[in-house]
Amino acid sequence: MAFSSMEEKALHGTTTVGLVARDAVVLAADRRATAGTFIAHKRTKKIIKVGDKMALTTAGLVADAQVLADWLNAQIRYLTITRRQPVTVREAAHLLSLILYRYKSFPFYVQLILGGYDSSPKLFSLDLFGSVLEEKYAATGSGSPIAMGVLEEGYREDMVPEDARKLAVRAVQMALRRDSATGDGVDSIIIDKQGVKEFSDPILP
Amino acid sequence: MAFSPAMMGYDRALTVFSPDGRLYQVQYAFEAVKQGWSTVGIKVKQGVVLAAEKAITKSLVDVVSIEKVSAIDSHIAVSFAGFGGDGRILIEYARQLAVSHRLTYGEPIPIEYLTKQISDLKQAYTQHGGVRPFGVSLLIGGIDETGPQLFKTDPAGQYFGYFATSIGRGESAIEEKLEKSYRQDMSLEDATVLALKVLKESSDQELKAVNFDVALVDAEKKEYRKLYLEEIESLLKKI
Repeated sequence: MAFSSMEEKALHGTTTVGLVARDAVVLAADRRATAGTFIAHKRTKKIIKVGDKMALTTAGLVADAQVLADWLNAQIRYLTITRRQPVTVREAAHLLSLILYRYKSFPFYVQLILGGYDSSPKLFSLDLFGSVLEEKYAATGSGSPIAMGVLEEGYREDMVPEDARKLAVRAVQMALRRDSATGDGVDSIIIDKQGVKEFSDPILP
Repeated sequence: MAFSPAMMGYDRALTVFSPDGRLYQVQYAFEAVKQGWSTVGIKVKQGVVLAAEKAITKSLVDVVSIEKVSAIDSHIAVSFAGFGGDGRILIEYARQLAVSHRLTYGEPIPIEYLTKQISDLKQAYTQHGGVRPFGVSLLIGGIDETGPQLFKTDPAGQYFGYFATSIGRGESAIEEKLEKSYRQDMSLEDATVLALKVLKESSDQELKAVNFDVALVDAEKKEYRKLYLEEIESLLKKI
């Protein structure tokens, strides 16, 4: 069926994870972009910042993800100025899901994790048809089954942000070992009350 | 005939010139601007300040809720004088232009380009049938690639760049004062104090900190920032 092959495509070639920690959200992603078996780019930024205290991890078609992130950034900027009030993570997730749902018959090939801090840390997972699921931890991309195993084993509620980041990075590193479409290092970020902090880690722990 | 021969009803249809070359409806829109609360804009090397008076007409109005200086984008401030509703619609239009410029080109909108597009809309409303002109002037100030910018638009659709200017009921008195006191090498703080000073002196009311709305766009940070009440209070002491 057409949709299942689309879903397979969207799942291809990436591992990204997100988790909620104590007063912070952590996101991590690998850096490999593939075109079939060819490694097209080795320093891909798969974590895209949106607004002041939010970020998206992107899996799927790079073009689709970039267009969505640009569009979301514009909407957030406009809403923040015209309402004179910041956009919450839930609002941003709903905005995204409306666009994804509108193009259900000709979808954006993406699987997104949106994380951010408004009054508390929040994490949402969105698929290409527009579903929005609030999560404590999530993984997307071809390496997600492997990464999810690490998260299932290591995730605790109320983790110290740095520990949560280490777990997220480890989850991507494990996927990187067993998934050929995942590789070239791990980018990660911590988003808390103060804002966004970025990190990068090597291929192996 | 109720009309004197000179008028002959030329103010009835917007798009009809009078024999001496006037569009009366457009001129009346200028009168609406002259009745608005005074607003000042000053451009210096360190940035741009827009300041407006919010004189209370009714004691039960919560003056804090009134916004006279607004953000169009993170690098642009705007203030208006004249019909508040018309001003609001134009500001909203400007915000949409600014955000769609960012979405289309990935860059903040240049301030003169934004001013031109707003002025194009205003001009269209002096030429088309079945509409009335916008009864507002806008002061548009901010920082772009070319540095600090300050523009004034009028209801006819003209716009000019300024170092310092004013719109609203105190326009001519304030501009006279600005001509005397303005210097291009003033600090942004001195420019803000000057803006508050000329507004205070031209008002028929005793203006306190709550009666001002002030925003700065700093040339370094390129960020719109509204002044807090306490900041306005301390600046008022420096007058």
